Amino acid sequence: MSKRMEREVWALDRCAGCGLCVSTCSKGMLHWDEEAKHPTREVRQKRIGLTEIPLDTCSFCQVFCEETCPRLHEWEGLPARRTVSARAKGPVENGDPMDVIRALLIANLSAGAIDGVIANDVDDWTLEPRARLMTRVEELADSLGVQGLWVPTLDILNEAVYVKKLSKVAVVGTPCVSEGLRTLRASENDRLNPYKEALRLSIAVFCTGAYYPGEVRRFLEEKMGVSGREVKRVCISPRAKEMSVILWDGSTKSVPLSKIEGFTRSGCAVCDDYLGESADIAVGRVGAKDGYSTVIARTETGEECLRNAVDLGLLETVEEVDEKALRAVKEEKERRDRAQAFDDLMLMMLDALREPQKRAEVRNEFVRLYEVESVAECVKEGTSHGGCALCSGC
Amino acid sequence: MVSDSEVRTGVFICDCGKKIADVVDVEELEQEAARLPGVCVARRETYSCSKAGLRDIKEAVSEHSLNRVVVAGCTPRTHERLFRTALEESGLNGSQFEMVNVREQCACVHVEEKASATRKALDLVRMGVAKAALLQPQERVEVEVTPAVLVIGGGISGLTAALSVARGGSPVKLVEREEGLGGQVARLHTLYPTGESAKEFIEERIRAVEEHAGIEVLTRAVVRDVDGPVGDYRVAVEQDGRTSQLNVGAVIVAVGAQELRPADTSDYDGLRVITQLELEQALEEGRVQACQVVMILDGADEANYSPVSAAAALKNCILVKRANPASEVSFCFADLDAGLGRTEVKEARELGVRFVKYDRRQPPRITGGVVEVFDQLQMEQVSLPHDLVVLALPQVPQDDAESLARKFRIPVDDRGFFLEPNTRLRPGTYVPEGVFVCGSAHYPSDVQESVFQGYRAAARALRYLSEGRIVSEGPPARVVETLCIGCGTCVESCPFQAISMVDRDGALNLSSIDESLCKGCGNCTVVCPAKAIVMEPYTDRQLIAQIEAVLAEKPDGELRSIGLMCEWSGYAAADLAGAEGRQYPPQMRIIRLGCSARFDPYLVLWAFLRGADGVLLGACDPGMCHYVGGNERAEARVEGLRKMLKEAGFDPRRLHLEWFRPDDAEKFVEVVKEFTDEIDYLGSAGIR
Repeated sequence: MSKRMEREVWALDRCAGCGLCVSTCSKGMLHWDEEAKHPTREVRQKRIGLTEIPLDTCSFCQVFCEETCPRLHEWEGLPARRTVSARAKGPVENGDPMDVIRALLIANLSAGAIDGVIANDVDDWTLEPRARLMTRVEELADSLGVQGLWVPTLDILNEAVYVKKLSKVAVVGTPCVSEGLRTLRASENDRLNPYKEALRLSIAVFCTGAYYPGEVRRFLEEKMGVSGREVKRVCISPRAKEMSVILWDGSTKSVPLSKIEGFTRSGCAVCDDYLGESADIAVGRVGAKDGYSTVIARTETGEECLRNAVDLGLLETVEEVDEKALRAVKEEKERRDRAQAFDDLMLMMLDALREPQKRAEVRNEFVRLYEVESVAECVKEGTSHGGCALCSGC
Repeated sequence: MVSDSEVRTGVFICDCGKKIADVVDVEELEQEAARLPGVCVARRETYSCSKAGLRDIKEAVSEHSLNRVVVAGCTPRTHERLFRTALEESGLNGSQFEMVNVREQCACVHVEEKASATRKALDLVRMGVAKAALLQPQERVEVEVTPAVLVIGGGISGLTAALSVARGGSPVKLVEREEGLGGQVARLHTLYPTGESAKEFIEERIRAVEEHAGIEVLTRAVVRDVDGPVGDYRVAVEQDGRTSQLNVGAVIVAVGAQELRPADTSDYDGLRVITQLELEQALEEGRVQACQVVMILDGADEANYSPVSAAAALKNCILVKRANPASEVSFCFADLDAGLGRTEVKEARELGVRFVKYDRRQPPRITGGVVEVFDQLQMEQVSLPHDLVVLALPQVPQDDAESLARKFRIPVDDRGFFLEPNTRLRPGTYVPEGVFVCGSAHYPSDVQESVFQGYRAAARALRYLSEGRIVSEGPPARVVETLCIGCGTCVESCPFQAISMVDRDGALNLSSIDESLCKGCGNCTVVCPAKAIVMEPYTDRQLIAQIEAVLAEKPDGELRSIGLMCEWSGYAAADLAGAEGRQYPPQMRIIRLGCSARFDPYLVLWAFLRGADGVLLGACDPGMCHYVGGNERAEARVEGLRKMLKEAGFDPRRLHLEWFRPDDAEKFVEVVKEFTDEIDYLGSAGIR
């Protein structure tokens, strides 16, 4: 039953929008609702005689949604095994994160390390960002890549695993997508094995939040006079604090991020992972040498894939990385964690109203978050001074 | 030396003559207070507010090196300022002072229950001392007010305001978008209801304005941008392609309204079907020769009904009929308000104007030669032949009203007119300080009303300037930079648009509160997911300390509820109940809030978990909030929390929201009685 999903993820606007639960749902009951703030459970009606009753299709299922939801599991970040600045070499010489990722993927696809890639792209017809499954180098070369706009990347997982029966799939997405994959891999449910066996590599792009594509597009059209057809790519640059829109005619327009802040997916507010800390490889601008992107390999697989790309001459790496910048970003995680703790506190307090055994724990958490113990201390400190004999000796 | 961090509180318990001492055991209060943490001295005074009392307090402050003072006496709403001023004279920061309201909340209202009243007074003192320990000294910011006024709009209300301010001795800049001054009145023929000539009337005013040395008139000029702090607005005005900057201390917005343009679907052609303003012009030029006139008062949208248009329509019917008694004049309307001049309606009837009431769902249809309409007065379909149809359309906001509102951060109502947030409590006061609105920019007003409002705005602006400087007690709400996660939630929720995001190193932005715009409703402190915004003197820790103080000493078997009261409504009503000596049960402890928007579900849940049996929130009547809809936000929060409590198996009746007006003493008592009964009935919440 998706009770936990409803109560702890969707109701609290914490959904990452990775699409993993929609793909893995054993009964196919989850789908994206119109505004796509989070997946919704389909309610089917069953007719008995003259009455229609809602069919509780969500009972007796495998609860894959809870099993795989990145928001229901806490993960310690994987330590970096290797951190380098990299840029694509060969046909495209560029340091853009997208090109670096493309080089990584093409190298590994050619080497046979992977046989398919799930990544974000733009639908040629509707111009809506969507997930795309690619199995050939040409497709990769031709795809536009992540746009900083929200896409339920893992929506098409079933196409890769069950329809095309791929066995070595790489997934490129936001850090929460990688987190979802990590959760999936860690699951002990045997029935999820087909997914676990097929998903080999996760690549995350540094992310500060994904924007709702529809609203951004409306903003572009109404406020900047740029129609969807003119846009080639949308890049979010947290460093420059702006979103740049690259048009097909080669020109670039930029908007300060503060203008589009409101279009951020609400679930992003609770995310504390910018650097793809659960991914095999994380790629982004922060900390990189000028004209390069930072590539962090966090697992053995990741390291190997990076080596493949370098060996095939598609990637050029230098060891020069600004560790301080990366650390600064990581520290922000603590602040976000604190905000998250407040969110959890609300639930804990509500639970504690009913369950007396939880009250002590809630009290401690409340005191920790509001730092009220120090208040008591400060008052206590006052007490000792209250006993002052007024000897004027001080 | 006494370090800053060390808390040294002095508690002064006021007998208030015998008012308090008669009911509350002040001696016990004194002894107990002396034992409270952080208290160095506790003392009784007969009248703390008397000269002798204030002197005693001042002496105690220096003698005991006090850095916090708590006075247990009457309501802070009347005496807080007095004590603060006295404390500041003795070198203590005025914001480190807390008043405990034992007179209005104990002595006056629990006369028969002396023991309970004393216990309640003790609790209140405990709360006050706990809060005082956490009060931080606030810095004062002083801003000089630039002695000049900008009037936007040269219509009748703008002219009146400009003239009145200039005669009051302050320089005025008058900005008008059009070529000439006068606004809509200059396009009228006669004025309602006096019937005097509009032209003469307005020209006299324009002349006076133009001749006055203190008024600089800028025509064909528009306000492009507004910048600068409160008291020293820097307004960029564009005139003939050149932009100049005006430095002013106050701004009077008198942009007026405009006649709604006829819809494309209407049969308006400007010749046989014209608008009211065009009729006025035609009347002025004496070119109305029509014999069959149909006046249609637009009633398509009930919300848009403007009495001004109705009055003008009626006036013009009479004028046309009088000029040519042989003509047929019909007046079609869907609604006529009762305020419309009786004598005019009577006169029109006597002259023979035909009144036709139509159903707003079936508006009159204008065909070639006749107006087809179903007359609800006669209950029959009528065809009115015409050679002139006049559409009396409602007045709507100016096209640029919205952008102007955004520049000056004035809230607008749902029709787009500038909103006076509190017509009843603080008429003529607007959200941004030093900005005033008059005339039809508010709502469609006739000339009399506009003139009156012009005078009022001028008086307000002059008073504002005469103060010379604005003293603000530091920024009410403050972002703790090390905690802010840059989510932008506060930016969206601030009713005064005082918060914006600024860049900082790393991936997260930082929110920043413009201290001159923040009014201190505390809404942002509640919505902030990281609790990174603090607002003195209602910080989370202070409120938690107060809640703790109530519940820490809760005796077994007794019920305790907490009253969170907005100081403009519930708290004021409680004061009045005290002053009137109305009696109510002593179970509730009142915590004062600046605005009900400060209602924080976290703290309420905490109170329940610490053993509160009920929480009552007192907020201003809907539409009466001092902070633009803070009460509505509170209502949403209470509703949400009640739902969550219900789901958690906790009786939601223990949380209650009630609307109060500051003079609702009787209602306050009723509500407290009912709520106490309810809690008695529900019994202990059983938590602790």
